[in-house]
Amino acid sequence: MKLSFWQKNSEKIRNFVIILVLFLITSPILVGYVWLILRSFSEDLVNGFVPTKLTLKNWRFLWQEIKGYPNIWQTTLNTALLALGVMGIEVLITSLGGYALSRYDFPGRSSMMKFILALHAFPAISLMTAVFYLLWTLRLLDTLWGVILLKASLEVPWGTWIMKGFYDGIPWELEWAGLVDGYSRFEVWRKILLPLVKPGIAVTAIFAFLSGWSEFVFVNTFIFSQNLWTLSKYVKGFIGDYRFADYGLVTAVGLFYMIPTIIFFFFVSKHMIKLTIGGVKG
Amino acid sequence: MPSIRVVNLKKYFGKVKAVDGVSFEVKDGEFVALLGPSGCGKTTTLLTLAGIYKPTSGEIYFDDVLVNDVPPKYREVGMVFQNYALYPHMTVFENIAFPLRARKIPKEEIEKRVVEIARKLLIDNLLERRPSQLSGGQQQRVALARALVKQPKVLLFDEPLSNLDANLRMLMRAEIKHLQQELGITSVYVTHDQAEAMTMASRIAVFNQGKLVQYGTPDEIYENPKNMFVASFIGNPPTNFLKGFSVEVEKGQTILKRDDVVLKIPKELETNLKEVVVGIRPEHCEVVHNKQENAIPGTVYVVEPLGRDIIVNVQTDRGELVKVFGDPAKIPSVGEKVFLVPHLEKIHLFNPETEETIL
Amino acid sequence: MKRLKPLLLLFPLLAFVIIFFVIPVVLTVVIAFTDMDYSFVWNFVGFQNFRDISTDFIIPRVIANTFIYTFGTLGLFNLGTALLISLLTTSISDRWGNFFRTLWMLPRLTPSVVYGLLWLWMFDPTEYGLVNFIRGLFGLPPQDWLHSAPMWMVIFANGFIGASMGMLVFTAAIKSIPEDYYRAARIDGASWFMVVRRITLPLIKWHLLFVTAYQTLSLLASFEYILIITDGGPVYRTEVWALYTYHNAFSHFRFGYGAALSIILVIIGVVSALVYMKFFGFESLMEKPKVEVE
Repeated sequence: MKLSFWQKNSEKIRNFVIILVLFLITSPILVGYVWLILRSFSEDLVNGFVPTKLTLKNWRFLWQEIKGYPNIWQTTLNTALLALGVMGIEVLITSLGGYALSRYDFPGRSSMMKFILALHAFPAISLMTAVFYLLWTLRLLDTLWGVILLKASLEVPWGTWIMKGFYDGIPWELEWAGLVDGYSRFEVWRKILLPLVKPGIAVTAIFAFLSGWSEFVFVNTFIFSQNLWTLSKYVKGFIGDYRFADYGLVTAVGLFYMIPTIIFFFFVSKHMIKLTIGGVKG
Repeated sequence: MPSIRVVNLKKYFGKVKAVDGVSFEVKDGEFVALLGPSGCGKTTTLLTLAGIYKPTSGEIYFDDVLVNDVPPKYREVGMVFQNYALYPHMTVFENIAFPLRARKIPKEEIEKRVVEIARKLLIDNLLERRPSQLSGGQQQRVALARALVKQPKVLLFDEPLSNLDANLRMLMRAEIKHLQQELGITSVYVTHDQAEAMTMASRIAVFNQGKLVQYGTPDEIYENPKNMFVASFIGNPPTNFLKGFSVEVEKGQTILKRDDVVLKIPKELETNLKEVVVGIRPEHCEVVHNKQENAIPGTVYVVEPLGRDIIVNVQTDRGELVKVFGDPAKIPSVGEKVFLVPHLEKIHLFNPETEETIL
Repeated sequence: MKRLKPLLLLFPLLAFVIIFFVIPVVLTVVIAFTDMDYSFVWNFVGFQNFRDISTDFIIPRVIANTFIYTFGTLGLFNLGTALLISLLTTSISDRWGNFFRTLWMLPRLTPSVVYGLLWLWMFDPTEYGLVNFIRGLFGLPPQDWLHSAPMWMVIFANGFIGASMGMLVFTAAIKSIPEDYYRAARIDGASWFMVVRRITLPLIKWHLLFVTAYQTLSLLASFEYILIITDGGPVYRTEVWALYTYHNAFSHFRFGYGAALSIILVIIGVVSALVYMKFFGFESLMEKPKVEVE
C-alpha cells in the first residue's frame, strides 16, 4: 500500500488540528485568567502581557484602609460566614432529606420528588420582589442570615436530589444487615449510611461553600450596611471606582477573592467534574 | 488475498501486558482461530491487526508490507464485532451501505452492492428494518454483510457468535465456514469456545496470558498439546490430570508408579524427572469392574447421562475426580468400585513444574 | 406516628421550600396588584400595573433585547460552542479532553464579579483592553465597546459560562455511545465529519433537545452578568426583562410594578419546571424503598 504522508498520519494530523482549534476557542479563558494573575502582581503591563515591574503594592488593601471601603478582613469574614452558613444548612438538610426520599415510602412521595426536582428550574429573580418583602417582615433584611437562609433554600432541592442519588447507590442489604444486627434505623443511618455517602456530602459541602462564597446578587439586594459587605460587593465597588485608574489594585482584590476557587480547582477538580456529570445525567 | 505475518507483537497498556511477544502467520485465504480464555490477549491482537490499537513493539505485515502505521481505513479489513455494532438509528440498508458511503461511491453502485451481499446472506427482505426489529441471528448477518460489502482483503471476527443461543450458534458456525471457503478471504477469528475453533479453523492459535502457547491444526493441538493448559482447554470434557506419579525409565519402557498403581508405558522416555503428571482424556479411558494391568482403582461418584454418551465420574483413592466416557449399555451405579484403564498410547505426561508435555 | 417519620426528616427541606418558594410565589402575585414601594404600604390598585406595562415605552426594547440575548447566546454558545467543545474533546485523548473541559468549567466556578471584571478588561474602551490591544496589532484604533457593541459583550460573557452546562451533558452522552460503533466506523473508513453527522449527533438527539429547552428558559430569566458588566446600558440597550424587573424593584423601589413584571418570569419558571419534569423520565428514578420497618 503506497500511502501519502497525509494518509499515513491522517489520525495524528486530525488530532493536532483539533487541539489547535480547541486552544483557539478556549483562548479567552486562558488569556483572561493569566492576565488576572500577572496584572495583580505588576506595576503595569506593556505590550500586552509584559510586566514593567513586579510588585506587591496592588495588594495594599490587605494592610491599608481604602477610603470608602470597609476593612478587608471584616469583609472576608462576612464572606466566610455566608459560605459556611450556606454549607452547613445545605449539608444538614440534604443528608436528612436525601435519606428520607431514598429509603422511605409514604403517600405523596413521588409527587414530592417531582415537585422538588422541578423547583430547581425555577429562576430566583422571579421571586426577589416578594422575598424582599418577606425578609423585611421576618426582620432578616440587612443581615447575613437572611442571605444565608435564602441562598440555602434555593439550592437544597437540587442538593437533596443529589444526596438521594448517593443513598440510592448503597445496597439495601447493608441496612437490612444493620437492622437485623439490632441497630435502630437512626443508628443505621448514622453509623453505616452516613460514612458511605461521604463523597456525596463532600460534593454538596464544597459546592455549597463556593456558591455562598461567590454570591453577589442577594448581597447586593438585601444587604445595605458596609460592615456586612461580602467580598463580592467589595470587588464590584472596586471595579466601578478604580477600573480606569488602577487595574493592578482591582485585579489584586479580584484574585484575592478567587482564592478558594483556585484551591478547589487545583486539588479537587478532576473528581468533581466526574461527579457533576453523573449528577446532571440524573 | 494477502497473507498476514505477525512478528513478536507486544501491546502493553501501562503496566498491563495484554499481548507479550506473539508471532504467527496466516496463509493467503486461510481461516485461523485465536483461541483462549477471557483476558488472554486474543482480542487485543485482533484489534491490533485492525489498526485500532497500535503495537507497543513488533511488526505486522500484510503481504510482506509493514502496516504498523497504516490507519484502519487503509488496511481494507472487514470486522464483525461481538455486539455487532449496528447503528441503531439507521436501517439495515444504511448500516450495510455505511462503509461504501465513506468511500464516496456513487449511489447506484452502493445500492447494487448492498442488495447483492444482502441476497447472499439471505437478509434482502430485511433491508428497510431497524436493527432493534431483528433477531440476534439476523443482526449477526447484517454485521457480516457490512464487513463484506466493501470487499475487504482480511476478515476479522471478534467472538461474533457468543451472544447467540446454542442452536443458532451451531448453525452460524457452519454458515460462516462455508461462506469463508466460498469467498476465500483470509480470516482471523477470535473465540473462547474451543468447539468453535476446532470445527471452523484450519489452524488454531492458543493464547494464554498474552502469549501464544501453541499454533497448529486442530488435530495437532488435540493429539499433541504442548502443555497442560492446552490439554485442558481443548476437548470437552477436559483432560483429567493425575498428579504424583513417580518415573522409572527402563529398557524399552517407562514405569509410572503411584500408591498401588503401576502404569507401564511401552516407550523409553528421555527425561531426568522423578515425578510427572498424567493426563488422560475422557474418551481415551475405559471403566471396568475387574482388576487389570495398568488400571487405576476408584469409586463411582456420579453418573451424567447425555443420551448418546454417558460420563462417569470416578473418584480415585487420592480424591481426584476423573471423568470418563462410559458404555451407555452398562451404566455403573454410584458407590461401585471400579477400575480406570487408560489407552496408554494416548495418555500425556507433563512436567509438574513447567506443565510442559513430555509425552 | 410511623407514617410521619419520613416527613419529620423532610421537614427542614419542606419548611425552606415553603417559606422561600411557595410563599414568595403567592406574594408576588398579590403584590403585583398593589403599588407597594419602600414604605411597604399595601395599597391595592387592581390591574393598574399591568396597564402600565402595556404603555411603558421601554418594554418593547426590553422584550427585543431579551430575545436577542437569549437566542443569540443559546445558538452561539450554550448550544453551539457546547456541542463543538464536547465533540472535539471526545475525539482526542482523555488527557487533553479533560484538560480543555476543566478549563471551560473555570468561568462557571469563578465568583461572578471577578468574571465580570475579566470581560470588562477584555472589552475595555482604552487600548489596554484585550480586544483593542489585538486591534492595535493590526493598526486598528481602539473602540468603545460599551457603546458600539454592548449586546455582543453580554452574549460573549454569558456564553462562556453557559457553554459549560451543555458541554457536560453532551460529553456524558457522547461517552455513553458504545465504543464499538466508532471502531466499526474507523475500520469502514468514515471521516470525522461523517462519524459526527451520521453516528454521534443522531444518537444524542434527546440531550440536544433537553439542553435547548432548559437553557432557553434559563437564559430568559438570567441577568446577573448583565448587571455586572453593562447594568442594562447604555440606556437600556442591554436591558433584558429580568434585569428590568430588578431595576424597577430595587433601583426605583417600585415593588408593585416589579412584582407585576416578575409574573412573566414566574410563568417561565413554571414552564421550566414542567419541561424539566417531563424530560427527566421519572419512572426509572422512582425506585420504591425496600424497608418497611420503623
